[in-house]
Amino acid sequence: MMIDKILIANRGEIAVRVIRTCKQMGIKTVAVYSEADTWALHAHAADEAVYLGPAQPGESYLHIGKIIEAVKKSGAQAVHPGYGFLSENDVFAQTCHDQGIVFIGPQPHVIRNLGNKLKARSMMIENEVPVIPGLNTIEDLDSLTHEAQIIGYPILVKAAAGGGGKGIRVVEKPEDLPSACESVAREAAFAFGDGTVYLEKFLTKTRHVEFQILADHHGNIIHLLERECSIQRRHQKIIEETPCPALSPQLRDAMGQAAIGAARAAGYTNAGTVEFLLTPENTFFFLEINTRIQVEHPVTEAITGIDLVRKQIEIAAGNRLCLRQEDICGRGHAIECRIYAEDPENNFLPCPGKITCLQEPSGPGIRSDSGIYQGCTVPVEYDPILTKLIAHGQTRTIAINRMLDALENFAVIGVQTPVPFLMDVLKSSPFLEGQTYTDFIESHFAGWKTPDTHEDFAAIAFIVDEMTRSSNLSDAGKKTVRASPWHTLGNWRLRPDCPDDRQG
Amino acid sequence: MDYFLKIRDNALKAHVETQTQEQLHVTIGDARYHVSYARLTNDKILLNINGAVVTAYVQATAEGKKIVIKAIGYNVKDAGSTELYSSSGSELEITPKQITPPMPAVVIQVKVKKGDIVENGQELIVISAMKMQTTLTAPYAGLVSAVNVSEADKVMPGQKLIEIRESKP
Repeated sequence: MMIDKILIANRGEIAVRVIRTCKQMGIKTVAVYSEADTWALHAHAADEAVYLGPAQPGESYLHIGKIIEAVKKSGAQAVHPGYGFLSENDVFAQTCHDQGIVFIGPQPHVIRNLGNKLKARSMMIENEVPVIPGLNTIEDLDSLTHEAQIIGYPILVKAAAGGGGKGIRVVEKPEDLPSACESVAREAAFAFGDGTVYLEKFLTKTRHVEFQILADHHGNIIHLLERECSIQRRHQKIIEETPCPALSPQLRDAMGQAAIGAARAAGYTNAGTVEFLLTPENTFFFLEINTRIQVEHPVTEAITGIDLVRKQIEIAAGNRLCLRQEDICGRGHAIECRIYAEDPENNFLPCPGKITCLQEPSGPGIRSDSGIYQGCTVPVEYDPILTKLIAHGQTRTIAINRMLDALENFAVIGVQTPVPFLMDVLKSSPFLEGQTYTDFIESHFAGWKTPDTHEDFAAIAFIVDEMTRSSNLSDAGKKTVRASPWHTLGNWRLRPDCPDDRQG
Repeated sequence: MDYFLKIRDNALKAHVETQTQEQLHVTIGDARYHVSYARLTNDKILLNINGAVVTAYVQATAEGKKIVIKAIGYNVKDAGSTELYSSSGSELEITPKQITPPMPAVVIQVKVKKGDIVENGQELIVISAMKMQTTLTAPYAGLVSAVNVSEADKVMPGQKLIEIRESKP
């Protein structure tokens, strides 16, 4: 079918990025926005914008009825769900389907099946895709403890309906297993309405390696190589790269074929990501399939030269994939850094606020997917991602150096960002050596503090600012005294310094 | 002219001699810097410090200035004019014993009501900022004397969400 108008059911950088490809394809775009996003970048990047409702996601970006109404009102034929929000909601996909709206993603039943971790796991076992050793059905206590002994401790108790780090527990000793199963089941029944649990061996040292796939409605499935996403905080990726430094051509080929097998087993269509865990011994196991465009998709775009959002739209329109597996070739190395509004010195706590100063980098091999502008407010209600920087170069070293240069030229005032932290990670020897496992941050960067390399320069900048700023400007800054987190978190009071201390 | 500055937790003294227009000599500790500068915009200053080219982004903040150099942020205060801040500072005294969010947030759940007796460490209120939930707990045992917010309210650091009258040990 012909798609000439798409509604983007998302916000922030991904909405802006999808709108960009639509425009390049000559497709009209409709943005949606909540009250908090009235002046957000995405709401002004599209041809049209429809107001959804109050800031709370349940009243706006997660409200299926309002989104469907916005599609009808705007006359769009298709919806792009982005990532997060309704992107992996099978009810939303089904509602679109029932209303004759093209959902740019896989079929509703595929999203439903893959959303159930146990069902996905069983599907992979039937199709000989390697899964982590484990136990699918828990019948009685005796068989449970016996089977667990065979799997070997530590063991993960997982809820079938769980996800996003919820409904999961590590068990170290056999005597803790029955109670862990019970409590995960109880929590899952409460949180997800499904108390089914299963066991998996807990692999302590692994890399997170995923394969991008594209599948059309005519039975063609290809993979677009891998991404390594082991650098994570709170189980959320912050640095991703491709190719994965640990893959040999043979292993890449085996994992790519397994990813295609997994997609085929699930009846997958559109763009998707097959996630694997890879051990230091180069054994890989299926983890899950993400049924959406990934945050880190630009690194794949960088090395393959393929616009993944364009492919998503073409596939949704019913077109045949014009690419064969042998057409896919990775050139060079690409790295992505996610810039969140968060404080890397303080457990990466989110920091919403108003961006008063912003300078984004550019240059050869640098791409910035941004959802912000100078003067915009980062709302408290949504995911704190601001911008993604992507560096592409001929080799891994060149890509790392390009990224370091880009990060150094990224300036934002008004919210905290992890930019100095990301720079230290990229410069560290375990990262440079490609020793990247999912415990990277805890192992190498626990208790990290901002380096104070240029303190004297900062002092000089202060003095020059004092001397050149018009007097009423600096007074204005002094008068607007307000409480910041620094007041409330530390054990100190605002009071004049003791004059005697000044010289010290 | 001398500046007494505080950068993060370090105090430093900078001795400044003005040379020709847009040129300075600055002495900080044992280090001597020859500085030429150009103010480009309200928040961007170009510096040449002993030959090194530095771009500084500067914004006035509540406590002084936020300065970003090579992507690293510095909070710089003028410790010589602290008197300026101290007069308005009295109303700003915030102790860690207050029940206030560490960042702008939305109230998810209030777990106590006025008149409740609470234990030290008891959960009082759940707030959420950018998809992350934080539970604030009682800093000491006592009687809940006021609940100033309700669910779905937007709250800011410094705002007293719940007040507790400390019980005598």
